[in-house]
Amino acid sequence: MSTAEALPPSPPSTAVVSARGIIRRFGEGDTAVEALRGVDLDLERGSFIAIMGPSGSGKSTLMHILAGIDTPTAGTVWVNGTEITAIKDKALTLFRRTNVGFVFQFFNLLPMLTAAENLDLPLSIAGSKPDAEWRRHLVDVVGLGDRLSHRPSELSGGQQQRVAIARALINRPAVVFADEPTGNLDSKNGTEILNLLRQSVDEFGQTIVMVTHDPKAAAIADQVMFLQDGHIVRVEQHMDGDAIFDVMKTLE
Amino acid sequence: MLRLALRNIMARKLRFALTAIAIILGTAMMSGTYVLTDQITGAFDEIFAKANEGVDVIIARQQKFDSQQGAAPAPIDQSVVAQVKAVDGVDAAEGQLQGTASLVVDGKSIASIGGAPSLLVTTAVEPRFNSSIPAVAGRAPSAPGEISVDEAYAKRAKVSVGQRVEVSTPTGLHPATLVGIFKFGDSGSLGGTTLTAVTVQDAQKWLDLPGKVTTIAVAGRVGTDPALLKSRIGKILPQDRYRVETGAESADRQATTINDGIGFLRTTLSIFALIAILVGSFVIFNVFSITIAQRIREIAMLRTIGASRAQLRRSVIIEALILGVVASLIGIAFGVLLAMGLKWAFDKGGIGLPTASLRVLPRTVIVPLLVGTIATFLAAIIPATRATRIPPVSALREGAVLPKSRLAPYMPYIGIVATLIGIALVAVGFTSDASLSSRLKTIGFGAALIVIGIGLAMRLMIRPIAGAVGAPLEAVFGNSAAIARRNATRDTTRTASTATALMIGVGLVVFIAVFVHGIKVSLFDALDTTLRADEVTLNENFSPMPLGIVAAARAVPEVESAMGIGTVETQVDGSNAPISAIDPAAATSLVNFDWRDGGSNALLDQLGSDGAVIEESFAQDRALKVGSTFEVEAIDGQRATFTVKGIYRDPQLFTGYTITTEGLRRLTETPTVAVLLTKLRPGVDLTVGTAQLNDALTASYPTAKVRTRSEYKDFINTQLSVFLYVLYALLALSVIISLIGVIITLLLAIYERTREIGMMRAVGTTRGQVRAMILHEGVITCLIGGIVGLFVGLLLGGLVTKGLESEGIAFSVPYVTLVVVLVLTIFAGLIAAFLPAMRAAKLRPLDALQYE
Repeated sequence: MSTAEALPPSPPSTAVVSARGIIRRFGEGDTAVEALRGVDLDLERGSFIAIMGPSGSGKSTLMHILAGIDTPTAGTVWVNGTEITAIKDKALTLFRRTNVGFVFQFFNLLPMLTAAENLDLPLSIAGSKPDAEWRRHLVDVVGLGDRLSHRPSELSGGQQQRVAIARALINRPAVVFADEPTGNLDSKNGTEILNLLRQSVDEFGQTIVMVTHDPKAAAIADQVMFLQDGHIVRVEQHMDGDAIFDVMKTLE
Repeated sequence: MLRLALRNIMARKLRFALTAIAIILGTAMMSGTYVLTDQITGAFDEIFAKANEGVDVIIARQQKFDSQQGAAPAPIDQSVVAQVKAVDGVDAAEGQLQGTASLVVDGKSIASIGGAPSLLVTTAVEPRFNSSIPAVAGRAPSAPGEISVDEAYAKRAKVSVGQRVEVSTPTGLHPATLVGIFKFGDSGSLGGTTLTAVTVQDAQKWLDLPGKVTTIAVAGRVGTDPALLKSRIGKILPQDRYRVETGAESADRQATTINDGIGFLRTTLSIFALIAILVGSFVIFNVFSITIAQRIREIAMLRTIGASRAQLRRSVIIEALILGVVASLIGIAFGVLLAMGLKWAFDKGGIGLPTASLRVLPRTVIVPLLVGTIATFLAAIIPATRATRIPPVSALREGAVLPKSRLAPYMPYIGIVATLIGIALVAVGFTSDASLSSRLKTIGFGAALIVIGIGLAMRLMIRPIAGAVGAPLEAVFGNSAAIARRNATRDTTRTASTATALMIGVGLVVFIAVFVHGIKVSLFDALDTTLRADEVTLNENFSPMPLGIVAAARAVPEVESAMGIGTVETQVDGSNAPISAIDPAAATSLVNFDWRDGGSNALLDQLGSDGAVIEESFAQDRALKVGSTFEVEAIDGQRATFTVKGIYRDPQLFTGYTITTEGLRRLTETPTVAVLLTKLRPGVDLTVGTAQLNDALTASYPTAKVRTRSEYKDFINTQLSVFLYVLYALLALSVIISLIGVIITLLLAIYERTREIGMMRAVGTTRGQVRAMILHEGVITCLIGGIVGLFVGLLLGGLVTKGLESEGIAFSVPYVTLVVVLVLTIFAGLIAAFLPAMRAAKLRPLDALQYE
């Protein structure tokens, strides 16, 4: 083994998220399953990336690893200049606090908190104060002004997901990961949510990584990555829904 | 449906095990109580049967009523023995004496253990009468100055045959030689009671009863029926003066008296066991409610595929019945083990109570099994009914919630009404003219209603109290405490039943603390205001002291005045009347009387032998006024009439009536003093004077304990504390069960909130913050139970002390205890939340992304 190999490669300077040689194996011995079999990628700051692939392609696992909520069996991940695969759970948690935002399929709001309190949750966990102007602006953009004092159970699915998006953006993370954000919404609300995500990329320069299996949702992204059997098999810029659909058909 | 119930149990073993503990502990206490008290009862049966072995008929003086203090009957003149011997069919008759005596080895008095009696018994010439105390070493005493003692006592005093010792009796110290060691009965187990055996002649001398005996043992000729012998003897002895019984009758009677006392112990312990089971059923109710809420989809799915409501209800109830039966049986087994452990400890430590061999009666198994199973069944009925109301469509819906119980909205109001009725019942119980036992039942029922009522109303108190205790936590610990408070209040019904379980235990702890504190404060107050004495002297074991001790105290140069308070058991109009016999000459310098109706200390000089001053409530109960007379009957049958000279108030110390020592002689042939009060000469240092008095008294009365007033207070404090700690220990079980309830509730809540906690971890909550959040929730939940419990305890304590005002018990808040209770509640919350917090902290952010 040479010394050059022992040192981790340095991250590309412009990418906000970089990964090299990601392998993720589940289980041991004969029953072991490789979900990711060597993934390299670089995601540009301020871009909207969709990760697509059929069930079992490893797209969710990849997102979990990039977001620092799962650890690869091998390989290195940098997020916003930090090698997150080299830091311990506590440091990783604190890193996520300020650098990563999440939007979940099932919204995952705390039911006993109001919309406003859910929105402020990442800040209050970190013990920091919201930037009042940014917060007002966010509330304005997601269109929740009159709903802030409501509990999640009093909001529609679309409204809940808006709160979740505002929550993901509140501390201006380096990257927001969205896991099937429209998967639990009807098409009208789904479209609105996608537009909101698009808007945050265009207006705030937010980087968004979205996992989806819906070609129409993926069409809103700047870049679409296709996964199959744990490999990135194709990367395309600005595809429309039909084109994505065609690619997906070849992968299944 | 049985299979479904079984599968549910198997699938959630930890939950099942924890829930089972809630019932196991209560039923264990119940069966343990039965086994232990049965063992003690058995031991006493054996002891009394043994004591009368070889005795066909036993004669003693008649007592007019049952002694409260186990007083020995008055002595019989020895001439009666000859009369009995002359009766046809009597083979042998011998007088025996009984009194108190303890060994003094190298100047040190060897006391009994646990307040058990130290008895002096006599050996007989007739060998048949000695069969209950066969010598294991040496022989029975047969000459003056010879003694033998029981094996356990010899072991503890570290004495051996041939050793010179001293024996302390009410007349002083007597030198003696230990000539034998005997074993009582088969087991040799007498609990802590000690036996010292001497000849009748020595006993008469040492007890100052020349020519007297306490009992006459009679053996008939071979083939004579004891009953026939008894009736023949009964003909020559006047029935109102003598009690003539066969040996078997006497054993039965004595065993019954003791067993009544043990029955009281059994009832008390059973009540605590029932409280524990009640708390356990709250826990079970909660666990079933939560698990049904968590199984909504599964239950709704069963409904969609055609399961009927009745089938679902049956499934839940079967699960509860399996839990109840299994947990109760385990509890019963534990109870038996516990009783065996206690028996071992008693035998090892020689403490207090004798125990016979283990016996498990059918009711020892049946009663706890029924109580445990029925309690579990009742606790599951409401959740089972709610399960049936889950609509099939819930199977398809995300986030379906359990339909509210129809009664739920009204519960808090029903609770408030119940509490008010409970308060009214307690008040009625204290003021009504009904019999004591029915009043006690009313008060007990009222108190139970108050506790249960507040438990039902608990839901209304969750938010305000959580807010109040949450605010300081949030100020100190920030966000994790804030979220914990929200979690604790999101399902107020659930938090309420978790907190109620703890509230019951804490409420009773505080109630007992308030009650005992009230007794202590009132007693201390009475000691300070009534007693002017410097020292209070009592015998170890509180047995009476001979009159001679008063003269001994007066002979001490440092002592200015000394007075013995004489006592004997008496009744007035058939109810027990406490008596204090004083010495008017010394009384005024030692005792302050709080005179009523213009009385003064001058009245004491006018008492003579037939005057009395009486306590206010004694006067009220019997409508006595100055100048009226009342007749007293002493336990040995003496009757005397006293004229009321004055009335005073003293509900604590000189309760009942007060007469002179001369008056006491009209009621007993052998006057003794219960307490010796002394006052030192002015200028004598308290420490020096007390030491002088102690040296002078213990030289001839080694069992007498001289205490200064403040030492006496410490002594009372210790006695009350022991009582208090025993009750706390009994309630600890209920508190532990309620904490198990907190553990299960939190574990289930975390399971429900897996996705929430995962999300929080994903957005940057550290494991430490998650742990803190759960710990805070545990503390908040426990504090709600603790604070409400505190108020319930104060309310009950206030009501009961108010009701006992005439007994001189004041309401006084034991602030220190309350603070300790709150601090312990916080610790309890932390302990209960520890395991759940660890579990929660293990959840990964990934769990937020996974569906269910």
